[in-house]
This record gives sequence, C-alpha cells and structure tokens, in this order.
Amino acid sequence: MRRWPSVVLALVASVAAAESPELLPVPEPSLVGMEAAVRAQLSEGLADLRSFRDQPGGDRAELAEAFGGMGQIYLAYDLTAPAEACLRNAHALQPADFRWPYLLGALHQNERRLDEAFAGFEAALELEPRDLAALVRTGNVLLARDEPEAARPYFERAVALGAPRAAALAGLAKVAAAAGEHETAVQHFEAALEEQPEASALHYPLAISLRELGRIDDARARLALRGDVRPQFPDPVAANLLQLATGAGVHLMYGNRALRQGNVEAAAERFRKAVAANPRSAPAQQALGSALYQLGDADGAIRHFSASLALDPENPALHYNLATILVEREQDDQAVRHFQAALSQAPDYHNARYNLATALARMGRSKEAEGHYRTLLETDPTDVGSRFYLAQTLRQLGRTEEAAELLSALVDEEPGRVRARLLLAAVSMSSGDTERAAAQYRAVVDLPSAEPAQRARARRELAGLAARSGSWAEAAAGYGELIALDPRDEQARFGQAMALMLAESYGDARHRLQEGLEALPESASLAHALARLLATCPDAAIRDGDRALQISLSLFRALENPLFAETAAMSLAELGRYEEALTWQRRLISEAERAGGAAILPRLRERLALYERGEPCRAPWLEEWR
Amino acid sequence: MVLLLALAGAGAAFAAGPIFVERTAESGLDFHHFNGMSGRFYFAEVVGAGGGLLDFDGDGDLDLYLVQGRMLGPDSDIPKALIPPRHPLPLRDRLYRNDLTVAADGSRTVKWVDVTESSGIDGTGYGMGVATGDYDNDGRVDLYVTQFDAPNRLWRNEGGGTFSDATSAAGVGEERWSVPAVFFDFDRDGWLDLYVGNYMDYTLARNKACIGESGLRDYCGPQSYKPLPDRLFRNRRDGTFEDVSEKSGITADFGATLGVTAADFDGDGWLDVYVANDQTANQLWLNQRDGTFANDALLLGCALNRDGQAEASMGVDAADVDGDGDLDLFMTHLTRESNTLYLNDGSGLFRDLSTGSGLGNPSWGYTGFGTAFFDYDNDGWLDLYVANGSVYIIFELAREKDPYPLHQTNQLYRNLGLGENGRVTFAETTSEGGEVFEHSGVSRGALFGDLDNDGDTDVVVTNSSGPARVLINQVGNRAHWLGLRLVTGEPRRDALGARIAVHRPGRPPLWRRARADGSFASANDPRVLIGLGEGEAVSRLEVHWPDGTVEEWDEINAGAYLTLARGTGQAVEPRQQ
Repeated sequence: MRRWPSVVLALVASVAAAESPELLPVPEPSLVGMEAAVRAQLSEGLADLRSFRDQPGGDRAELAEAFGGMGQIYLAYDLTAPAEACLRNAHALQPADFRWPYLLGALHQNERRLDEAFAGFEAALELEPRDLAALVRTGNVLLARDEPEAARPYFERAVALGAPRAAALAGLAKVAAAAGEHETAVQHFEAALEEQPEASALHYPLAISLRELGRIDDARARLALRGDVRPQFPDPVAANLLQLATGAGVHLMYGNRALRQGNVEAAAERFRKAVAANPRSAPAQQALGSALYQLGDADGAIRHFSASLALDPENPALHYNLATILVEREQDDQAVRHFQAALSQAPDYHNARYNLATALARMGRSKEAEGHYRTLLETDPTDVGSRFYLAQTLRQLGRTEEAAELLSALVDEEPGRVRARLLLAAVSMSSGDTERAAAQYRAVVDLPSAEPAQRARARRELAGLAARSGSWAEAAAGYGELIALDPRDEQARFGQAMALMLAESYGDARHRLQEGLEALPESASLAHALARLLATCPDAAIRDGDRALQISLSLFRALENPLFAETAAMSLAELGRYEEALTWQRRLISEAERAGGAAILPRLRERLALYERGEPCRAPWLEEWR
Repeated sequence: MVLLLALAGAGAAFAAGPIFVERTAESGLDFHHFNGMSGRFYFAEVVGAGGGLLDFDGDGDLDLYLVQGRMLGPDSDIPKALIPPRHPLPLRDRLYRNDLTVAADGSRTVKWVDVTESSGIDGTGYGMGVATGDYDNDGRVDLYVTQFDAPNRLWRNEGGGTFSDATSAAGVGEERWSVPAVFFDFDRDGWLDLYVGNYMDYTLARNKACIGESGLRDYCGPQSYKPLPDRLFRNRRDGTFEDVSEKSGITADFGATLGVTAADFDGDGWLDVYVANDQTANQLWLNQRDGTFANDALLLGCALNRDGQAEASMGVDAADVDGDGDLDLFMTHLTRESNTLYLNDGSGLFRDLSTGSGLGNPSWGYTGFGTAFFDYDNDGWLDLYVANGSVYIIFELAREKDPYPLHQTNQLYRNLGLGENGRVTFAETTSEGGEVFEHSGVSRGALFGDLDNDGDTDVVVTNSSGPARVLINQVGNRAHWLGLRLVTGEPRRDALGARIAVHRPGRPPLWRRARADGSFASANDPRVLIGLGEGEAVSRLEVHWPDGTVEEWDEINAGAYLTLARGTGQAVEPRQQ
C-alpha cells in the first residue's frame, strides 16, 4: 500500500567492513507535506546517520545505535518502510540489544504482518525472557494468528512475573475460550477485571463465555458493563517512541487515533506533545482543548481553545467550543458573544445558532431567541429541537396558544416525544386548559419512552391537578403511586397527608405521616404536618395535644420557623393552655406586622380570636392546601 | 467426507487466466459517479453510492440501475467541483438495459443501452442506494432509491420499459438520510414490506470541521453526529405502506445504519433483519411472528467483534458459508478493524471466526464496503468479494497530492471448505482475480449477478467519483451449475426470502437463499446460482417459501436456469431446520 520514491540511500556501512553484516538500504520517504520541524528532524537524523556511516574506523555498536535511533524516529512518524530497514540494520549490527527486535515485532504487529511480528518478539525474548510486554505481545500475535494453544505459554510466563497481570490473564482467558474451556475463561477474565476494573473491554468476551455456560443473566449483567478500555501493561520501549517525535502533526495523528479508540487520556498526552512541538499550531491547541474538556478539565480546555483562537481568530468551531464551556459555567453573557462570533464567521453554523438561541432564552432575551429559532427553522423546518425550544420561548413571551400549537404538532407527529408532552401540559396549565394538561400527563405516564423522572413528574402533576379540583381521594392515590416508586419522596408523602386530611381521612393521614417519618425521620415538613394534625384534628380520637406541642416546640427551637410557632399555639389551645396560646399568637402577629406579612395577618387574628374565646383550632391542613 | 470433497474442490482451481476480466467499455457502460466534492468535506460525499441489478423488462437478463450524486451545499455549482464530472450532463441516476446477445458459437456479449430518458425515471437527488422488489405484485420489479438531502423515491415499474414515481402514493418517502433498504415479507402475507436503513442526523448546515488522523482537514466520522432510527413500512396490499417502525419495535435500538439484510437467522421460517451499523453495535431483529421484532444481538454474539469492540460496519451479507444449513454473517469494516465473519451454530447463536477463517487479517489495511458471498468458481462453496475504499484521507496519498486520496484496491477470497479442524477457511485470491483487481478506486457498491446468463456470477462495482466497472466471470461455468428462479403468485414475481436446499447423491445439501439484498447500498440478482463442482447430479430440490410452506422437485437437470413456481412442486411438511 505504501509508496516510496525510487530514491534509495545506499546506507551500507563502510566501517569495519570485513566483520560487518550486510546492511539493508534504507528507503528515503518523501517529506512532501510534512511540517518543517519534522522535515528538519528527519533530515538531521539522516545526516547524522550518514556521517556515522562514513566515519573511518567507526564503532559497530555506535553505528547500530545510530540506525536504531533513526529507526525509532521513523517509527514515531509511522514511516514504517525506512523504520524497518533501520531497525533491521541495528539488529544485525547489535544482535544482543533487546530494543531492535522488539521494535521490529511491534512495527509488524501494528501492520498485521504477524509472522514477522512473532519472529521479532521471539528474538527479543531470547534476550530478555522475562520481559512482560514482549510476552504479552507475543501471545496476542499468536491469538491474532489463530494459534491460541501456542499463545498459552507466553501468557502463562507473563502471569508468573506477577502484577500487573491483567493483560496476560485476559490473554489466557481468550486461549481458554478458544478451546471451549469457558469455566476457566470466566475465572481468568474475572481475575483480570479484579486487577484492572477499568479494563471494560473484557466484560464482553467474559459475557460470551458466560453465555456458553448457560449463565444468561450473568452474561447480560456483564454486557451492561462493557466498554472500550483494554487491559494495560507497561511497555517502556514503545512508550519511548512518544518522546522522539517532535512534529505537531504526528502527535495529532496519534492523538486522533487514540481518540478513535476511546482512549482520551492517551490522546491528551499526544496533543500535549503536539502543542509542545509547535505551540503556534492552532489545530494542536484546539485538539488539546477538546481532549482536556472530555477529561473534565474545563480550565485547561478554555486555555487551549483561547490559545488556538488567538492563532486562528476566524475559526467558528473554536468560538463555539469556548461558548459551550462558558454555558456550562453559567457565564451566558460571554457565551453569547462567542456564539455570535461563530455565527458571524459561519452564518449556517446550526449548532452555534441553536445554542445561542437557548442561551438567550435562558437569559430572558426571549425575543432575540425567537428570532434565532425561526432562522433555524427556515433552514430545516423539521428540526425538532428548534421547534421545541421555540415553543418554550413563546411560552416565556406569554404567547401560550402559539406555543401549544407548535407542541401539539410535535406530539401528533411522534407520540413518543415526552418532553414536548410535558411542556404542552405546562403550557396548557398556564392557559387554564387543565383537561389538555391532564391528558398529556396521563400519556407520559403510559409512554415506554419516558424516563422514570419524567413519569414521576407527570404523576405528581396529575395528583396536583386532582388536588386542585378537590378530588382529594384521587390526589391521595396519585401521591401513593409516587411513594410506591420512591418511599423517600418527601413531597409526595406530604401531599398525600394533606389530601387525606382534606378528604377527612384523618386516621389514614396520621398513619401515613407516621410511616413517612419512619422512612424520612429528618423531614421537618412531615413532622410539622403530624403536629398540626395531632393539635387540631376534628376527630378527638386522633388528637394528642402533648405530642403535638412537643413536636412543634422542638421544630421551632431548631428552625425558628413561624409556622411551627403557630402550631405550638394550636397545641397549647388544644391542651386548654389558652393564655400561653394567646402569648404565642400575639407574638406571631406582631412579628408578621413588623415583617409586612399582611397576607397572613387575617388568619392569625382569626385564630387569636378563637383562643380569646377559649376555643381550639380545628383546621389540620395547611392553608395553601385548602 | 466433507473435508475430502472440499479439498477436492480446492484442488480444482483454474488452469490459467484471470478469474474476472473487465468489460466496462466493451459492454457500453459509460457511467461515471460524481460525488460533488468541493473541499467543504460534506459527509455524504464519501458515503455513496451503489446500484441495482434487476430485470426490469422481463426479458430474462439483468439490467442495471446506477445511482448518481450532484454538487452539495449553498452556492455550489459544478465548476467548483474538485473533480469535475466525467459523465455526460445532466447528472442523474441511470438505467441501462442489457441487450445480451448470444452468438452462434455460444459466446455471449453484454451490451448496455442507456434507457434513462425513455424510462421516465428522473433521479436527480444525491443518491445513495437501491432496493428492488415487486411491491405491488404486478409481476414487474420496482425500484426504491435511497438518498441524502432529499426524500427516498419509489419507482413503480409500469411495464413497457417505463416507471412512475409512486413515492407519495405509497407513503415511503423517508426524508432522513437513508443508505440501505430491503424489500421482504415480514408478516408472510404475500406482499413485500420495506425496511429502510437510516444513517446520521446530518445536514449540510450542521457540517462540522474535523481533523483526521493525518492531522489534515478530513471527513468526520460517525461519532460527530447522532445516528437515526431505521424505518419499517408494512405493505397494505393496495399500493400503500404503513409506517410500523414504532409498533414493530425496531426503533428501540438503533445505530448509524449502512447495511441491511433480511433472512431467517434462527431457522423458524420467518424473516429476520440484520442491521450493520457504523461504529455502533449491530442489531439482529428477530421476527416475533406477531408484527414485532426483538433485538438481542449482543447476547447472540453478532453485535460486536470478539474483543467486544463495535466496528464500523458497512457492507453485509448472510449465507451458509460452512455448509451446515444455517445462515452465517459477514460484514466489512474500516481500515485497522478487519472484516468480520460470524458463524451461526444453528440456533441463532453466533461466534466470531474472523481470524480463524482467514478473512480477518488480510482486510486489516482496507476499508470495506460492498460485499457478497457468491460461488465464483461454482465448486459448491461460497466465496467472497470485497469492494474497498477509505472514508478518511490516506496520508501517503495526500502527501503525493492525489486528488482523491481515499482509493484502495478490491479483494477476492476463495472458500476452501472445511479444514482439518472442521472450520471453514478462506484464502485471499485477489492476485488471481485479474487485472481489474489492480485498479485502485474508492469502491462502494458491488452488485452480484449472472450478467451474461452463462452460469457464473459476474460483478458490477461502483466507485465514488469513479467509473462503474463490469467484471465478467471467466471461470465459474467450467464447473457444473444450476440456476434457479424462485417465483410465487400470479403474475409471477421473485420469491425474495425463499430458501432452497439442493440435495445431491452422497453429498451434503447446499443451502442457498433467493435475495436481492446485502452488499452495500445495492441490489443483486434475485436468482439463485448454485455451483455443483465436479458432480452435476441433483437428486432433489427443497424450497422453503417465505410463507412457511415447503415444496420439493426432483428430476433436475443442471447446467441451465430453471424457474420453480410455488404450487408446482410436491408439498411437504415444514420442519425446523
């Protein structure tokens, strides 16, 4: 596949000619299209090699080192033909050096020239029989040649060396699986994963072995964990190549290759090298920024995107990337500026316009957002995202009918659109169309495509709608479904208790509140609801003024919420301690007057009058629920 | 015994001469694909296009439909193309009629005549692929063309060499970017349904700037965009289709689809669908016999390669390559991934035998697209052709200032039968394939069929921004063969999805299927061409029709094409295979 120019260097050693082995000519690769730094490095390396070759009486070991060094440089740049010739010459000149046959093996393994790869690694292992990387690579080459039994001793020798053993154990597992020994394969895979749990690529072959053993559930569990990270092993000779390449381009190439294999950390390392090799390479800065972003280093990403932007200020993708990170940091003002810059360079940059519109809507600049969504829809009227967010923006602008029309069309086209249904329901609520809202929420509850949280939200809204319409039993049942799904759903437990009280099912309400406090002992709202019920319940069998006072006082001391003080006053009234109740109630009224709480003053004064008349309060629900 | 026969077959290789010779110019095929490449690296430029082989005029030989591209993007006109069009303008899909002649000495000449104008087909979109099938049961094969940036088109064969646009009437104008499609009867009602494979949620306005491995601006990969769910259309038997994508369950899992084949993978007599996706797990939709499908490809072992990696699947085919009566799978992949062969154990469980079969390692350096199992030497074992062409810039070519630095050579593999370990093995025979295999191109579609009706399988290869090439098989009919057209209904139409067992005295049966699907974005000869090797005796033919019925025929004479019509054989009880 690879084509080399006809120019061939006659790099045949003149030194110690009598004893020297016959050396291979080294094909000179075309340097056309390569970066200046790489061309310079290769040219200088070649010049050094030539001068070594031409030195009278040169040292054979040094010449080997020169060929080997040049071979590594070529290899670092993926220039395999000259690399191979150089490494073969180095090996011929210095057969006792482990590096040269090993690198020849690695080169051929990478090229899928498996027989030659095996020969290289075998030669390396003769020199270093305990080299972990050579043993694992040899085993893998033999697996790739479909010779699992031949691979077995190499993996066994690697395992015997001790940790890290994951790669060798994985190799042994594959050997066992190929032989149909799936019990053994499972053991080896599991041992490898125990050592390197991050080696997620092993879950799949492990699952297949489990399948062969009929352990289908176990296999499915492993399939759910599968990923792309392969078991790692130290490989110092190959890792050294990373240090040799100086051109940004080659590091970009390897970095992108690593990204395709899902290894973002390795990619970032390569992109760092690319930036170090050429800090003025905008693609290198951009690639490093992207990799750092994927690794969660947003600061680093911003730094390198900014550096890239300084070099390539008209690159819309860079503005876009920066804006995206700024959005995540809730710096919408700056994000908007970068999105706008991206669009000024590339007006048809869909994602930039889309995210700009979304940021503007979030900032309350709904009119501008609407304009951008409409521009997007001119280009692609079927764009579901733009239609959805346009509807949301119209809702913000108070144009609920237009929003409802857009959302209804989305739902009619594709009934499984959960978010559209939820928004249509919310819009319907705003416009007072509770029937349409309820229909949408009910549809979401029944949709298989709805996420559990979306389904829960729909159930909650349906329960709320029932409560608002005074259908207390229906509301209580709705909240009950939510509690069944999540026993720690405090909001649902509270709503259920209120609905039961308003349905006059006081015993059930007390039972549910006590049950709720067992599940959520830290819940102040449930404790308070219970205190209010015990203090004021119309059913005497339910009331317990002492306990109500104890709960409300302890809540008030801990949280100093006036609601708890009000319940304490109710408790005191229930116990016939009206003077104390009046003292609490008057203090509440004066606090409310000072704080401008005009809305609650009538209620407080009404209860004050009750206590002045020596009557207890009999309203266990919180007022907003009435 | 099987081994001995296999090795005997392998020994009967060809005395001399290439396996294929190119007859593009001689046959009058002047089609040259135009991909509209303008330097903006629009994704669609490197994906298409394929074509289809079909006998649209019912004269018994295969005609040819080839899919064309055009310029893409705003303000783009032809002078801005990096590689100017070489096909005479206007750029549009082309329909070629095969005016096959047989001379007195028996020699055959394929002659293509461009009948696009008179056909009424006006294919001016950015085309991707072709599916063929008689969807309205009128005895004439129709065409479904998938497209980028425009709705797919259904061309109804009106007879008399003309077609009409039935897209809107039939309700199959899928607007998303589709590549493969297949007609198949999933509900056994005798009417062809339609599965459409959708690729990416990509529009020109959303084109991203990607940097490739080469460090140069390059085409983006599928990770850059979101995949789209496929579509399944149920034939309502009145010329229209119902979109049953949701209710059939096939949208529950999806990837970026580039290959589709419909066949019975679990041997229950109902057609399933295998979906090959680009860099995401593949799906095997098993027919639940109630209008729904369920995908369990991960556990069945045909979603990922043996290392658990999702690969960039492009072309796909299903056939019984190891002679055990069930359907195995092969799909082509990206450079440095190797192609994959999954062997079926008969129950629908698959094992990755890419390495052990000899198909994995030789494909390491290539990006494969169109492919199919076919018996090029008619020795009874299904061989393989792979059309290659990169989707990313090949650095070495770019450095040499190659105008389209994605080209690679194509490959040919010979099935050697079962080896000593009882496993099927292949050997690469590209070097014996002929001069045509020395062409380096950006191949995409590969269409398989007996163009000259001489008893062996020929190939038409489509190339992105390159010529469609006609490869005529030179060797197949030196061995014994039997050609079958399996038809059903009145008027007769091809029984796509039928399976046939060819029983031979003292030898294991050969299982084949009638299909037009598979490969990449292409439609193949629906006839079944069976290589019989050195023995021409066929004791019995057993046909499993798509509706679940089974019939047998005996007293078969090899060396010719026969038509087997459903209802004319001896009915037998269906049995689990």
